[in-house]
Amino acid sequence: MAFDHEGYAQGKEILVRAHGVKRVYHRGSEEVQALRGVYLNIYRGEYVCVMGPSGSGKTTFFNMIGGLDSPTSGRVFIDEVDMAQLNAHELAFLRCRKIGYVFQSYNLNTVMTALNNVMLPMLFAGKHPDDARSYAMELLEKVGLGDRWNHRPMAMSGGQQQRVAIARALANRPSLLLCDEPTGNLDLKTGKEIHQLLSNLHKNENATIICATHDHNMLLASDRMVWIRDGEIDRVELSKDVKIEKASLGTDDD
Amino acid sequence: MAQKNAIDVRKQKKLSLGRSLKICLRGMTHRLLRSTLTLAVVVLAVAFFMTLLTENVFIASIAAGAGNEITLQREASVTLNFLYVAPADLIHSKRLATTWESSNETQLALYAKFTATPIEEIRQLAKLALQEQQYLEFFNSLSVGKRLILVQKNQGRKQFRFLINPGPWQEFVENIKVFKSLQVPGGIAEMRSFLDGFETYTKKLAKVTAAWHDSIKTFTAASEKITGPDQIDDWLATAKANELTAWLKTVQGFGFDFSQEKLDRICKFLKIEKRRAEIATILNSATKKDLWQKTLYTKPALDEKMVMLTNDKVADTILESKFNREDLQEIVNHIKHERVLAQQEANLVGKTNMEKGELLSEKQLFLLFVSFLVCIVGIANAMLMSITERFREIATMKCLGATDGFILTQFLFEAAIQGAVGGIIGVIIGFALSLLKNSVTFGSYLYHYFPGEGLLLCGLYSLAAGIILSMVASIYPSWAASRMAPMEAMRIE
Repeated sequence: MAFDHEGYAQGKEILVRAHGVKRVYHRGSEEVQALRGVYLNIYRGEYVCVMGPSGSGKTTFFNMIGGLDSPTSGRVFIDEVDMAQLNAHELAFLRCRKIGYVFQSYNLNTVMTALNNVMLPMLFAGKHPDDARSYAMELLEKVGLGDRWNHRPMAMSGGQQQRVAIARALANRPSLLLCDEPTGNLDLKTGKEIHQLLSNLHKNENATIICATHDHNMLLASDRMVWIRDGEIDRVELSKDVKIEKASLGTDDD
Repeated sequence: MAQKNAIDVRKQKKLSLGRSLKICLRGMTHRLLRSTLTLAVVVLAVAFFMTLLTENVFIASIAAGAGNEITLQREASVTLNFLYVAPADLIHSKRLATTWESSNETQLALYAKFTATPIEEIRQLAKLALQEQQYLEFFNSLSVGKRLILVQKNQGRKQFRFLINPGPWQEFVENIKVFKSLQVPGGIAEMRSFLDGFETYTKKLAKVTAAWHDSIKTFTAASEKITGPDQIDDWLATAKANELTAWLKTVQGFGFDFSQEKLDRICKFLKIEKRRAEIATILNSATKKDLWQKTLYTKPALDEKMVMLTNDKVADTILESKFNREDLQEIVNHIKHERVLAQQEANLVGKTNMEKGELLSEKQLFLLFVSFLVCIVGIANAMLMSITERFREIATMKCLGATDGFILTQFLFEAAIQGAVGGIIGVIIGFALSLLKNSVTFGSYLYHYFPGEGLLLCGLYSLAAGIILSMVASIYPSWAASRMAPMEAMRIE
């Protein structure tokens, strides 16, 4: 029950596998079922958009596959590694090496320069500072911020900050890029730039991207769309099968 | 299926402490500006600590300095008093007896020194002398009739020589039984034993007395102009260098602990005192008084007038050019210094109740303990606040692969830097406050005995206290931060 379309999985390598993932929160005496059993395979090199109204369990699902939280029952595999079997140290290592995070509110370290922000995950991974510096510069140039490496986040626009965040997410060459509404805090124009950047990464470098978004541009660029509702996967659609009305999702005048 | 082979943490290089500290150091200046509250608490605590410590150090140093000077000044008169005894005193049984009675060990030691006799022997002699005095008193208190019956017409020591003979002694014993109201001091047997040893006692006493007189002769010969104890001051004040050296050698020859340095100091002190007295006499003389009152009548005390003389042009006319400016200045300095010392002594009353080597009194320790406790709570609170503010940053760090240990290290290190920076500011502020406060109390005398080394140590202690305080206070907040779940990073405000 992995919502795979016929023939879609053929010849593809599974990167993330969610197997009956349930998550129950205790809020006082009340039990909140955030996830009611999610089955999903995500393949290497895939660009998946996850959608759902707020409170649907979308964020919880993200936490699960990002190794930020562990399921109450069920299993999550990344690169065929069972996350439930990892201790805190290994989880930290997995987050560092396997997953790149891009947040809606950028979450850059405000006291560090762009370069230091990008270097940080590489230093955590034990890379030599000199190597980390040169690769961080490379990444910053890739996201188009080569000349602004010495700026602190406060001196940057939202779009620039998000680009630094993407560079940071790519620092350790992760298997998976996890983006939580990357364009949510940005205006349409800069949002489009970020979306362009992500889809270029997907196309040119075959990056696996899981993206929670409402941005129709992103939906169009993705391979699949996963709809989550009430803690369950409602439906999975191939983007090429779906005709999204621009007007139904907001206007883009370009 | 599920294999852990893809991830092997053990193969992974661990983030070294040095490197993680380097990461923490990035943007530290920016962070410090933000954590002004924590910094302020550290600064306050350290400043308080520094003020307490330095004040104690200042007081201790001034107490030692002033105390030393006061002792030095007094030493002069004390030593001289001791020396007066030598030429003034003539040894005889009565003197020895009173010395023994008042058990004046210094005096006995002096006798021993001047007569080159062991002090034990002098003690023995003194004891016998006391006995002799008692018997003499006993005989002298008798009525003429009784005296005639008991010792016939003999007086003084002849009485004892008379009684030594067996005939008169038998008579004496029988007669004393007749006068039932009479009690020989110490009893008959005691008196007999005294009489038996009387000849040796007198011989010894004579020998010691002779030795004493010889010594006195040498002693006075060295300071020939001294004929009485009152003159020793004058002589010392006016004596020439070679005379003084000869005298010093003699004094030292008698076994006195008396150095050239001490002698010089005494001489200088005496000279100044002498000149001071001379000026006082001139100022108080009838003819000068009028002139004086016309010019500087407002100052009533003689010392004050002398101080003013150095600045006033009339000094020459008043003092008839007997004193040059340097001399005058020296006297004035001496007067001023005396006053400062007296003032410092008054200032220190009740302040040096600490044991030597102790930096803080018990009361201060308690005060410090309470204030540090308050500071720890304050810093911990401020740190907790800053951690709740930084939850997203912490969670993001964890998403990027930071371990709990790294977060803990980072926050502790930050606390240490905060403690150090706050500590340095606190030390400076505390030192400035303490300097200000003590300058008001002690005046310029503070710089006269500036305890530089002690203050540096105080600064180091305070700095260490600031760092430790800050780190201890941040143990719990740092732990709380390290336990923060990484998914907090996903939360949107």
